[in-house]
Amino acid sequence: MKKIVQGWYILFLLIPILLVVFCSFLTKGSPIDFSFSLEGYKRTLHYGFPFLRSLGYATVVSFLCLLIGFPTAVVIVSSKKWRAMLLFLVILPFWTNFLVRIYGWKIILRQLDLLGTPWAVIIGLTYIYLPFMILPLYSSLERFDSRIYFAARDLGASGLQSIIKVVLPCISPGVRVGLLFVFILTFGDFVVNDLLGGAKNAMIGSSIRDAYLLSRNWPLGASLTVVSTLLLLCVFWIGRKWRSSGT
Amino acid sequence: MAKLWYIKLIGYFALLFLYLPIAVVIVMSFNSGRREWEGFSLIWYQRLASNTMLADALINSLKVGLISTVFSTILGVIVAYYLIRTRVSKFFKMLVSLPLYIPDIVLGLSSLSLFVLISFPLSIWSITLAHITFCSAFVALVVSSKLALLDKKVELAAKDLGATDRQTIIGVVLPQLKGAIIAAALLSFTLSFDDYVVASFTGGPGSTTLPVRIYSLVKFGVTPEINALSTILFIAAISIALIVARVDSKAFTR
Amino acid sequence: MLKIEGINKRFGSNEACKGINLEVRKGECFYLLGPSGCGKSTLLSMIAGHLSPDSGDIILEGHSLLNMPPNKRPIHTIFQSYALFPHLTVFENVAFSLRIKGVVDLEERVLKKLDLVSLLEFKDRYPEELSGGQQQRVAIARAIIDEPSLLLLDEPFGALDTKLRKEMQLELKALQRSLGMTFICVTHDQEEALSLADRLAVMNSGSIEQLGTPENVYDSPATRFVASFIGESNILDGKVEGDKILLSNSISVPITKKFQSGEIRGVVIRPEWFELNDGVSVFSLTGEVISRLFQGASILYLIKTELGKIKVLVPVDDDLSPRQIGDSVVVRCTSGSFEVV
Repeated sequence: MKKIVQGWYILFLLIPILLVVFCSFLTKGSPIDFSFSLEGYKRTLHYGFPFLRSLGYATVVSFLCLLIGFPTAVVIVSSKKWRAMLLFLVILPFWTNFLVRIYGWKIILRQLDLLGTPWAVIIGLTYIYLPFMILPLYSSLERFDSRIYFAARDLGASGLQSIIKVVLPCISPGVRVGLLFVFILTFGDFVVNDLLGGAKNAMIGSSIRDAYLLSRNWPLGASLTVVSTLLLLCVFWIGRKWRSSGT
Repeated sequence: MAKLWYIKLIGYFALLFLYLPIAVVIVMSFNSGRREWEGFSLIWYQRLASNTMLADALINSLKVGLISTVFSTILGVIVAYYLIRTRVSKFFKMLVSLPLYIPDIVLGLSSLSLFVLISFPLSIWSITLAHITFCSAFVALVVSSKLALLDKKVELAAKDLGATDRQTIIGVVLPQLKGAIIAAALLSFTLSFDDYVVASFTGGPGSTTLPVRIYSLVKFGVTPEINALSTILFIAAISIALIVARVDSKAFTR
Repeated sequence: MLKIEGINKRFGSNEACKGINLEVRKGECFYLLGPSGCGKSTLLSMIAGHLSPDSGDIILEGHSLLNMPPNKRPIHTIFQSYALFPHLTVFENVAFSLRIKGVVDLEERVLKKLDLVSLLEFKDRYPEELSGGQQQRVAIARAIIDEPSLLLLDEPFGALDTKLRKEMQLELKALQRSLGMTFICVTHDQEEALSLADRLAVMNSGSIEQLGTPENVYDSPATRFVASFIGESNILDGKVEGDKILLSNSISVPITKKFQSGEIRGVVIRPEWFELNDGVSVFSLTGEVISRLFQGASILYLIKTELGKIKVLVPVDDDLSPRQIGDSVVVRCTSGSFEVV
């Protein structure tokens, strides 16, 4: 029985992923031509802008989420009575269809004349992935002994200084998890980009989707995916190095 | 942190911020006009009821959702049992947790690659298969965390009193997991019903699911019936979330 | 009824059981007593079938249990945490083994057993609603309902508080007697073992140090470990000389066991075999009281003497003027025979 279960995941998960890597080295066809070629990777080199845009958006959104998410986590932790209720409120939007929530932003942004600009994308992404920052932060804050903060104040630091020098370092596991989550999710996004940003602000996710579903250029799509994954792994690796040098 | 009122203020605003677009959509669904507020009306709800395209998409989503929930729950529970109560290889552990780390776009395009290469038609079934694969990972996650908390001695007692392994699993383990399994099934259904990315890659003509249909409507901003639909979906979502919250807390007390 | 022959079990580099041999008689309340890590629970698990021995045999009423899985053995275990089924009522918990067997008319039998343990009114409650003592009774009823040949109890009173413990111990012993069932219990509480066991085995580091009745083990400890583990004792070392042991230049004590002359051995003297008043003695010492513990019906003194610190237990009635710390006393040993370890 175990083998059957394992077999399912090998067939529907592992093999498809290996196929993608395989496809990245083939030629465009209908949909694929089984002849070796580096066409896909060569075309990928033209995609510098979408990659940079994705990295840029991911970085900005990650830090915005930290900036907004931290106070929110503080609010939740501060009240013992309402904690569960507040957590529920943070998680509830998850249960609603995210397209619907983006649509709400479309209405708002249209009124504010921000639709189609990079700001629209940033606002949208920050909104959608904020809970992914709030929850790990809350988790770390819950275990944080607030007396350490008061000790710092006592020794002369201002509120803001105490937070930056004392609180954040103590909850750094939560901060790291949150940043990583948001970064990776934002990097791979294409829906928010598509609906709020438009073609001018295309991220790599949109490029990949277009390659697969619009231009039907699978080798291109596959190589873009492979390169994106490698990029993300680099970010992940840098994040780990930061962890071991930081503490 | 009582003194830092401005920190907390940002926090409170952020919580409101989370519901801003939802509130906008709900309000607009009762707007008789398209852009500017023109008065209260239920016209869009009426139009919604007669929109066949949306009705078809809804039916597709429900079909996919129900079938994938049934199978991913079964698969997920089996995986959870293997993970916690038996010894499994590192390979197996990595394999079943992959869907949790892989971005849905990769799940979508890799599944598409598989189906096309083996000439499997893109239909409700291709979407369902892809959904079962990733939803089951989440079911396994939820159920295995509860399973890990169960007292092993209880299962030992059952065997001691004469039960076979099968009788123990059915009569003692599964009943104790009831709450977690229900919560996991609801989670699985929500993940499947709400999924846009994987469905857009693995679906074909005639098997458009609701999120895919909503996507094109949102992108081209054509009809405000979307607002009415969204409001209904939002209410449904709150209801499911409330059910899960109740079931889950009960699962904790037992 | 149960024979254990040459059982060995090792976990990695840890030898949990080394060459265990013992026999349990039918209808007996047998105890495995020892400190944590001595192998008693491991042995119990092997009897139950949850673990397999590396070598040796376990024979129940003539049949080897070695290849029988736990659910086929006519043996039931009561776990320290009781392990009741949380999703079943008390009634269903007790009925479990009968339902597994496919018994249909079980209601009467279950109700009778519930009545036996005085839990009839709780039959529709769930385990989480019951107190520790009540949960234990459910566990017992559940285990005896299909009349197993042998009942194994792992630290049965560990989870109860002291007062409740004594009550449940008396109840359990009475139940065992009235059912005529064979019990094997595991504990680290030597008081419990001494008061409830018909026979017991004292274990240490995987081996049995002594096997016998509580009186045997208390009065005639076979090894130094048993002497110090069971009850309070003083172990006075001295040199063997023929049929005597010299505790000091002036004090010697007759012994019955044969040892090599010149060996250093310990003489076991229980605190209650010393007295602090005048009278006849085998030997006596002078000393100073350095500590005293009031224990209700008796006082435990710690006395510094030339032979070292000696524990002396004196019943309150006997001691007409209780000694204080710093008093000089004369300690007399009144025992006739001495165990040597």
